[in-house]
Amino acid sequence: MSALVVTGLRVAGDRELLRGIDLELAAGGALGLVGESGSGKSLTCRAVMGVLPRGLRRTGGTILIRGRAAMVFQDPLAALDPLMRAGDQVAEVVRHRDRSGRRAARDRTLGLFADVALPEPERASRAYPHELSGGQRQRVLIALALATRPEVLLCDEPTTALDVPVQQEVLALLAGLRAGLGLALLFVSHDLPVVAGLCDDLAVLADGRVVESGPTGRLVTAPRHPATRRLVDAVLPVPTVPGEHDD
Amino acid sequence: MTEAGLVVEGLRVTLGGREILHGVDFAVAPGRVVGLVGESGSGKTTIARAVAGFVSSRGSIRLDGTELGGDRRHRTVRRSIQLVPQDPYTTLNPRLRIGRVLEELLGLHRLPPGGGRTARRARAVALMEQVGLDAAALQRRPSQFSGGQRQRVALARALAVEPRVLLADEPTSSLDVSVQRTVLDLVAGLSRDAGVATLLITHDLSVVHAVCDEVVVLRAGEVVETAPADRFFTAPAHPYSRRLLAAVPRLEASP
Repeated sequence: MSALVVTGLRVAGDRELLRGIDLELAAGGALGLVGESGSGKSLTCRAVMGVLPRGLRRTGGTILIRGRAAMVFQDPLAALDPLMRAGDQVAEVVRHRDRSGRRAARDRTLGLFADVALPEPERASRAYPHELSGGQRQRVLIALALATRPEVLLCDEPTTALDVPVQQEVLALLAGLRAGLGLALLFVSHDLPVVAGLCDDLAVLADGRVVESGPTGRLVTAPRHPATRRLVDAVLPVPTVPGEHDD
Repeated sequence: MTEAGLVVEGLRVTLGGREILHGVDFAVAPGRVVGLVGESGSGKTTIARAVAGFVSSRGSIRLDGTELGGDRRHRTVRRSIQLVPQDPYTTLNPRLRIGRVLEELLGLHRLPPGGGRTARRARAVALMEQVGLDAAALQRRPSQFSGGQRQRVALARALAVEPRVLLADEPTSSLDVSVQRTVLDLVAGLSRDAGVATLLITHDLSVVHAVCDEVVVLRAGEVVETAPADRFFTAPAHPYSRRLLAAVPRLEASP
């Protein structure tokens, strides 16, 4: 069963930017969308979510989502309201989604904060976005997305702005949510090692088209399309320190 | 023996009443590329700003044995330390052609010595060649370059005044991964050829592994480890260095 099926998606502004995108994301699966900047990764994500930037419109194709989709953005500081406490922002979504009262919304918000492993959920819910660290803000944003009870989580470079150790924690959280809640993930990133660590399948975008797709292992070991090969070749290797495996 | 290159000792910087750097020591020899790594907020950029003289600091910053102290108004001192920014788009005048930017800069510093306008023009062409762009690029404005080309231009501008120290602050983090390597190799290659002491500031250990000779690990305003790159990547001494290394996502570790 598929959680998300995109067929022949076209988006245009002054010129055509997405030129017939086909994607399929299995229920509970994880699909990585990779490509150079300007290839159409983020745009695909936004088109699926129905939040295209001003001046762009969908000119063709179909998008089928089983259930609900929610999106996690790259820069949580820009996505959160700076004048509203983190807990209130999430509770607002909960009240709207669940049609629940203030009390119930507050309890569920604290539950969500615990789900995304925010340390001290009570304190975090009273904090304003600027009072939280980058990693904590990204967790709030993920809680905000989970508040809508989605089946599909669209992640647009959610760890790019984070330091490597924090990045690793957020990736582990996403993998955990996928396993625990059966969430399907569409994960956009320019960082191949990050995507490869999380996703079973990859779709490589170049110039508004999917030029290659398939199982992650096959694509990174035997890339066929030049665009895929460029991405694989661009990865700067870092040796693994003997006996220093993270577990 | 006289001291060569950049030497920083006991560097302390206080900003807004809070001490950001708590006594930082490191050295960059001429022609060497030293990677300064650490998480955001660790003080990496503050170090660059202190060395460049943009923020006041305590401790010692020496260049070829000469204490720089607060004397940054002197043109030759200012000239010897050049910064390559993260996003050159924000520091290049969008209305000026690159040729004009370079020629004005050379004129200001009376370079090449004793040369006139023709010499400056020839030098500008040579600089473009050094960074892998052709002379036609001199006629273009910043917006007419790709991100990678713009970073080459920024490098040409920094090298134009023949600096002794190059401070490169995340020079490739705004670039596509596919052009990252070429720009890094260029920065490292030109620094080595020109005998410039280069401090490469990054949070990305793969960048350090690609081009650096030595690594300085910064954590919360303190240096926790300084090591030759090959030793750092095979036998990191500090637990924090080991944690940083273990967290790097690797393609080999994929399912």
